[in-house]
Amino acid sequence: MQAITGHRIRRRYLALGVAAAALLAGCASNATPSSGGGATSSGPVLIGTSIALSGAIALPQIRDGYELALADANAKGGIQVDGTKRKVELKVLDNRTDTSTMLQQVRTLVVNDHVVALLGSCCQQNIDMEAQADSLKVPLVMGALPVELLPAGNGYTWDAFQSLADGANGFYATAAKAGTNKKVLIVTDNDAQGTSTAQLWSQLGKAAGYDVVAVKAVPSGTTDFSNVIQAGTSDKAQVLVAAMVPGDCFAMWKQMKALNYQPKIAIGLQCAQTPGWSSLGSLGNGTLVQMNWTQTAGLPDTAEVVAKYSSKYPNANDLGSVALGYAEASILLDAISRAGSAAPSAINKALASTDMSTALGSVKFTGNKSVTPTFLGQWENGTISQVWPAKGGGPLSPLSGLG
Amino acid sequence: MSVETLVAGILTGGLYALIGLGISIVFGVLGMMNLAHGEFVIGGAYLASLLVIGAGWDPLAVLPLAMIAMALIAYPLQRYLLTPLLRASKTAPLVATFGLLLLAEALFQAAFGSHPKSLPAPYAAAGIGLFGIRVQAIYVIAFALTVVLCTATHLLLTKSRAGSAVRAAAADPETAAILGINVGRVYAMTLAGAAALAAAGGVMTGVAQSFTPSSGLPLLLTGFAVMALAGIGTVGGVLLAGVTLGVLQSVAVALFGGGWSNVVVYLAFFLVLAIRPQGLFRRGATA
Repeated sequence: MQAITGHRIRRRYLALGVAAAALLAGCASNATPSSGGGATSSGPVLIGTSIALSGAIALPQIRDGYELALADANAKGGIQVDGTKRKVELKVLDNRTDTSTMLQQVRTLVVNDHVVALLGSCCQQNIDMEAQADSLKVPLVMGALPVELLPAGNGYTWDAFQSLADGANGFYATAAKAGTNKKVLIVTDNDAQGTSTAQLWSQLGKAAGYDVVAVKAVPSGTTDFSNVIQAGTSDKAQVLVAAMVPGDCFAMWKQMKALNYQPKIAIGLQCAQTPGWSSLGSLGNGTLVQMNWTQTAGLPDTAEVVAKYSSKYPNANDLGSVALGYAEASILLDAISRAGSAAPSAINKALASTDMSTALGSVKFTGNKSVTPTFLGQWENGTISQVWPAKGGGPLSPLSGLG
Repeated sequence: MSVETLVAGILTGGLYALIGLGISIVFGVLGMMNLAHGEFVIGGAYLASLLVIGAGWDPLAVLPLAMIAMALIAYPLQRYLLTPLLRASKTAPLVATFGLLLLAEALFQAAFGSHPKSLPAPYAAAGIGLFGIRVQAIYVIAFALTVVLCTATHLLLTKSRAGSAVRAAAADPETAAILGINVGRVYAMTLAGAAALAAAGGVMTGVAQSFTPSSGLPLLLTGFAVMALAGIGTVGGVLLAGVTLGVLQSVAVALFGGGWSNVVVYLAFFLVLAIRPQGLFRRGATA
């Protein structure tokens, strides 16, 4: 009898433990302090962001870019609003890469803190954030989401970032120099962004004369890619496009090497952008990565970004993320200044007429999107060098890591 | 379904078993859900990275050091924090280990950054032939290590004097204390042992895959699933449960696609809890 009772008690604890574990992801958030202030306040103009600073994705670089733009504006006395110069303040909430936390935080920022505008996070979170901005009628300026992936909304979300199509076309043009059999394996995460990426890269690959022999979708956190590798091997795909979270690419690259799958050219969208890629050692050599910024591309404000953040972020992609945040915040601050008002509707209207030079290049919105330049970089011994386009780039090296 | 699918599932399951073993032991002996177990796993990987990435050591050489280090961290946690809480309330340690989870994640991020890391080794991306197919050497190593550690744990628990004390403390801590067993010390040694096993799993995970400060939670959930399948207090069952889970996952992915890998884990978990709560590999409880 005692055994049964003890067993039941333990079962209850087990269920309790699992329930608690399942709730962990959404249970915590960190915020930087803020005094608050909305459209009618005479204090600082408050903007907000719910951004992934911990969890599966961490983007302190983008936050640093936001803060750099605000520091620049405040160093000049602030921005012109309602006839007076007002300082700008940013309230940052860490959503721990959890979508429901992010949605709740965005609502809190708008409803409780009365932010006049929002800055984005990254990737799939930016897609999910759009509906929230639309329903709350607060302008949201974002990057880190290829323009093709921004769903049609109600006009409150503004995406200034590179185009997947540009990256895919650049990749296929680069792959033409690698002497492949033009057979492509595409593997992506199975979320909305992954599905869209697979469709677009398939279409553009076919248009560029490539044969997309296999398209695989895997959930984030996958560690066994044997069925994907089997498809690549049996279909003799020499061109690999992987669009996954970093950990998945790490596992897949190791497994590819172990199972002797040797594509001649490979790109790691999202995953190879992390500086952690260097911890793969020589295995990571030759992998291509799509970039929104390079130090050699001659983009505006490069010197400032490099001077202020190259010691904190030695990796080129990290600096690119700082530049991205700097550009996003600059676009928003420019719109607030031109609106001359801290009213969200006025800021949103001003964003539509944006025409400015940013750290990512020229920005002018058409249908709430502005395409910024795309670059391809290649990993070699822990550093990334631009290999496409030719201007500012160097020669393509073989995919030696998987060879 | 191919032989490759089955072998890949079995080998992956070995790693799952290594992660689940510590959770199962702690729950079996202390009756405590250790929500920080995934952090012990990742902690082992981060500790190993100090010598592997920092000083170029081989991960297998660092493995015993990482296990000892995690054990030394876990021992005082149990002795001076969790056991007093456990005596006050059965649920208090659950909350405490949740706090430890959050604390550890923040510490990892502050100390090591948020970017993924991987432990480089010559065998990390090497392949070997097994039953006529090619597999990742690191998963074979991890499987062999799991078998060794499961066997050692089983022998320790069933054949040694310390094991007798652990079993006595697990069965009836009050009587065990009357008989002169230092239950607090036994509990602390149990968590230390579980943390050492977790660290071994962490080093293997770091070599085979990668890790970030937030990698602990999915590993914890995998460990829970292994424990539920195995049943409490069966070391051999943990190994079988890990392998079962790995094979189920591998087969589901091969048959239905990648989206089913996690579905299978949680489906198995809840089905076993509902239908056979004592686990697949443990005899039913008797009155």
